[in-house]
Amino acid sequence: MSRTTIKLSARDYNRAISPDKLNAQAQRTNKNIIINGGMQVAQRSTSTVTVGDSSNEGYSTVDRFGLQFNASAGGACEMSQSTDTPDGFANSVKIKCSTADSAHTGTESIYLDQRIEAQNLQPLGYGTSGAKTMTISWYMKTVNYTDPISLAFETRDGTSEYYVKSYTPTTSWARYTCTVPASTSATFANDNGRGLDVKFVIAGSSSGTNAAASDSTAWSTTRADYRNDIGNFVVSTSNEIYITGVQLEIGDKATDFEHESFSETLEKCHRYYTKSWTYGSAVTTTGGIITASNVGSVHRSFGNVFWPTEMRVAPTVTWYSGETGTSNKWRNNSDGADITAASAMAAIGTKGYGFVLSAGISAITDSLHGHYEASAEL
Amino acid sequence: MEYKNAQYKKNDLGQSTIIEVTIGDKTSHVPVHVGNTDYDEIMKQVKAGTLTIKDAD
Repeated sequence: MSRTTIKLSARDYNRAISPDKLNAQAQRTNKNIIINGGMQVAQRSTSTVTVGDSSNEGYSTVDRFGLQFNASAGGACEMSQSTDTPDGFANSVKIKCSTADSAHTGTESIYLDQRIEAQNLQPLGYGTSGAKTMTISWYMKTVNYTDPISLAFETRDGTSEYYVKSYTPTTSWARYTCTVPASTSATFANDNGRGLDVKFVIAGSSSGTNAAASDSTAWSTTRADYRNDIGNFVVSTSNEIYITGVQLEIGDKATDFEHESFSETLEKCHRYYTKSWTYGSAVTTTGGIITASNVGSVHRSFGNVFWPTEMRVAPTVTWYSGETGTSNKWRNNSDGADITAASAMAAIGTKGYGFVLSAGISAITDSLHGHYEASAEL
Repeated sequence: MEYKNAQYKKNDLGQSTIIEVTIGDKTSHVPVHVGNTDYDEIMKQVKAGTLTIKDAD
């Protein structure tokens, strides 16, 4: 039998499929440790929410990203899901200063963050000799604001380690990247707790005790919440910042952003937050979809609701009347009155809840309507 | 986040498995479950003496 040898040109070789190429392609799936980096899911609100210290602070619009006012920092911002994006994206998160604060002191800072579940960080191998480098990338633009912001990392298990770097945004969309060296000393527990905070710090005290004097070149246990060259985003109500395409991946290069279908990202977000309203309908919207029927002559109502996916931990649950949208109420539609849900709980778990209602039910034919939101955020 | 008006609630078995508490401007139900960030924060404030949880009725 004759044997034919085919000699490939360099061009053909580059086009050919090889095990290495297949492997590299496979690694691109689920490479992004950040959830909802494209800002396409906003279960709580797709409209503008005003956020300040202890006022809607934390999660209010796009899922998994919270706006925090550390140490009672002053000022306030309007946060919303925006359609102002770089090419290839549908959404960004928009933060606009709505109440100015001229300066910050002490440990005050304002930042957008994502808190990452520790077990999702295991592939990084932190705390071992095989710890891996990671790279974060994101798109950003500003309106009327061109002072530096800080990118900051903080590990949350064991002794915290910090890594910060300064970036200066521009008024045009641009992609920014940061390659973070591995830490063989920081640890991430293999559990459902808070493992790593990723922060975009937009305001802070440049002379504060937690301000780093220079960009990090390695992880450090010296607390560093932001760089000391940070500007003050909330100095003017004309300031706006937009961020999208946030991706944190293993390796020393920022690869193309991994776009997911809406349903894939929504399912990931459900682990941390879910609500009974139709997507896009705000909490407190009237019209109940959870109906409880009554049984027995003692006029008690019971039932079970299952979350769309298993939640991170047993969540905090808030009930709402299905008619008026009032919190901590159910609606007795037959009596035309809201009843208090205080005794409603039988159990809350990671897979759902079971409830028992008794007070406020006057007949076994009464019809009850209610809504819920459940939060198991980090 | 401000927590106030905290009170344990009993389930049908008489167990105090839920804390009813006002978080911000809403009354919510927090499971007695370490790892729930609201429960962890409530217990932190209880330990610091800035919040008390009333017994169940």
